[in-house]
Amino acid sequence: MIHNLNLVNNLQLLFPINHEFELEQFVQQKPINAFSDEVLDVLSELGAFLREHGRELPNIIAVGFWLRKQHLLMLKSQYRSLHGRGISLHFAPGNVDTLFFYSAIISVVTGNLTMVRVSHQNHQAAAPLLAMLNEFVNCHPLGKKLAERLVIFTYEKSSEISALLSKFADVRVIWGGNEAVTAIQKLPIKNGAIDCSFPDRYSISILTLSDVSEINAAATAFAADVKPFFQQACASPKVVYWVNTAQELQKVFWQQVSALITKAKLTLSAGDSLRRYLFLQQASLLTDNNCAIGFNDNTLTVIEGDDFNGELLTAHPGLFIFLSHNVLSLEPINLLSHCQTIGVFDLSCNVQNEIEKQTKWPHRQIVKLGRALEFTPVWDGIDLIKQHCTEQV
Amino acid sequence: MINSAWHNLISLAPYALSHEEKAAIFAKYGNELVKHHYEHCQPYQNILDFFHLTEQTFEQAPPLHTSMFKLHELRSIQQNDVFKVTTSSGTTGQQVSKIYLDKTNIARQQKILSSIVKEWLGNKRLPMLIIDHPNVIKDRFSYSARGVGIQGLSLFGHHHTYALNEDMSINWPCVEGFIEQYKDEKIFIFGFTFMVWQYLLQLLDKNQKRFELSNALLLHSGGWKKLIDQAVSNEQFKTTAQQYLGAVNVHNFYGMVEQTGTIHVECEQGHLHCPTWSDVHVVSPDNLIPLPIKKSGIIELHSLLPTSYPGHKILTEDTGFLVGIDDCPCGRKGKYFQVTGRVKRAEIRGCSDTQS
Amino acid sequence: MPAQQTLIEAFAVALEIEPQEVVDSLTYSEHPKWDSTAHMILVAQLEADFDVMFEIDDIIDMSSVKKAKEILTKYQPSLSFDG
Repeated sequence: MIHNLNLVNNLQLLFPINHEFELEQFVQQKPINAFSDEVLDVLSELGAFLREHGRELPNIIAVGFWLRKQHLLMLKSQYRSLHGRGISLHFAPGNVDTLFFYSAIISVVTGNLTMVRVSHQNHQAAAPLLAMLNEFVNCHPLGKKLAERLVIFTYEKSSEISALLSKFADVRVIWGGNEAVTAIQKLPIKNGAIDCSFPDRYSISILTLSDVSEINAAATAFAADVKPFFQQACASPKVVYWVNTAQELQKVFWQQVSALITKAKLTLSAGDSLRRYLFLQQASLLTDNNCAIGFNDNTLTVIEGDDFNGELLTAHPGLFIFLSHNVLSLEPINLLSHCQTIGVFDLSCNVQNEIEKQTKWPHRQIVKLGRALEFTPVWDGIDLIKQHCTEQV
Repeated sequence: MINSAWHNLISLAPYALSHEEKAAIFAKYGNELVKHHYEHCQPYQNILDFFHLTEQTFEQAPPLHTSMFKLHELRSIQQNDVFKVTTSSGTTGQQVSKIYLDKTNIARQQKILSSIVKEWLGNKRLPMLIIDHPNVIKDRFSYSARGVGIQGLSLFGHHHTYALNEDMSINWPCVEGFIEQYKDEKIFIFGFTFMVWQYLLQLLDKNQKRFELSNALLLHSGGWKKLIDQAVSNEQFKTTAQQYLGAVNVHNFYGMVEQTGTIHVECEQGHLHCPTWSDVHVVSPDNLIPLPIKKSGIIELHSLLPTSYPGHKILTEDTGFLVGIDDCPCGRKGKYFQVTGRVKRAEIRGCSDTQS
Repeated sequence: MPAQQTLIEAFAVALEIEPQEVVDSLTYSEHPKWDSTAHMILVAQLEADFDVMFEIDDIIDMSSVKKAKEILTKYQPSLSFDG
């Protein structure tokens, strides 16, 4: 094979920093068994390191929490003996602070050699975690072990480099919108290699409240699902279905959610505000069904409607706008094919049970309200651990 | 019929009414205008209903985001009454605004524009040098913003001369001939700010050429953003123009294709003035509430002109601040303001940007 | 080391508080240092020190020192937090 390896000179190495990255050398290494003791040791030590040094950064603590030994062992117990596939190449967003690393962990823990390309624009969001990873390599005896099997870099948008890297990939993980996913999928990978793609999705919540005493817990959980990334993450709900819930309770709920968002000091830029007004002015023109503003304060806006179509969801900019639909049962709920996560709040569990019986719904995962953005190895219906492994030989 | 109100409005002087007198006119005709569009433009009715307006007043009506005219067909006349559609100058790949005009609206825009421009140019038509190339107004049915501007202002000139070739080079024989012929008369120069800077002043500088005009008026507009990127201030623009063109009075003006006609011309003090038929609010991005004088915010423009499309109240993406009301040292009444830039595009959060 | 001592140290380290503050009534979100981030550190610390693996629901339910003792005892019935 002749590759234009000079292209690699355009890579800006983010981890391990101050090392020479030799692509040819890196890809000649061999994968090892998934969940090997050696890798679990490295990762759980890294977890402890992040918990110790990242106290000011909740999302980094969350990574450290994820990497605790007991959690990794629990994951291990869920799979039979598996072996890494080889080279795993990840295309991750740089504007999401930790996603790139969760993606990488799966591939490292399953024994693969891992290359992560973080998008070039706005990749500062990833900087704090990258700094701590580099710090770990420098000052922890096991750091070197991580640096041997994981490399994180960025480069300016270039399909040539992406194509070159793709030729080495046994697994390719593509995060991002439909356009990015399609563009990268077109680049050839090895024979028998696997793509795990995460295109645009939308998510919903289904809530049922019967008493005012339930509102606090529901609002806290809901706020946890929408605050990160200003409700722009695919897993953050845009549509809320209320099952048999009194308007009065809904109103108090929205007031509390609004207060929680305000408390978190998530202030919109002028550009955000304009985008928000534009969507609100557009909303009634994007659907044939009735829709109108229900609740509205300076922080969040609730649009009440009968049903919400794809056009409305595509135009939806996040930014704390919620499409609210009242139903008496699950029957009128009509989910679109790109529905990802259903967050449920139902203390009686009757509705929850009903949802789990909906075999025809297209959603990928059901979670308790408040946990929509927690990273799990089965994401968007794809078991990333299985995809990264072959049966042990 | 809403158009009949115009018999009274059209003959008003552009800068003679105090803000209070204007407010009374806006309350009366503005409310009628909102009702008119509510009744004749189904999408507009949907939007107002969506926001549950307690009354359909000018004050309560939401200012439409300028992108609404790009994304939706907004008109308050029948399709077969559309006489012309003007479009904004979108850069390639972007959607453009589409403004639907009937004959009445076109005539009204021309009339109001002429009332305003006469204040600055005088009543006589002047020899006119246009800093653009002639093909920019080729298509009569669909004008770009640049075409609209040139076409609208051509009325105030004669012997229209286009200074540029289609490749944006200066048509030297043409320009030199024009200047030779009219160097002792008052002449009118018009162009888009960026075009004047880049393709006239910069080239004169490069070629070490100067003109010695004795009495000229340069009106220019639009595209400040490109000059801000090059760190060219309004002051610097003026000085450079005078350095290379001679005795020329330079006036910037601020207008939107969504509200053609009511342009906001910069006075001798460097302030943009609202004419009688338009109003400006500088609003807070957080809640669209008008901000006091000197406070920076987003520019919201009101105009009484549009009856064929609901462009009477629009939310721009420009930032600025009110300088004062009724008391500009230049003597003109009404609000005066400054434009400071453009709102930064909203950041994309979440994972939809792995390619960039 | 007695279980009580281990527990007190785990709380003190995870929440960055004084050992004498670790009493049964110490409650999640009522003490300014015991927020959601500190909670994750605490859970990881308890798991490591007591060599247990908590269920998700127990992680969420662990809202006071008293509750933490109950949950730990559920996983390791031999534990005693007396004294």
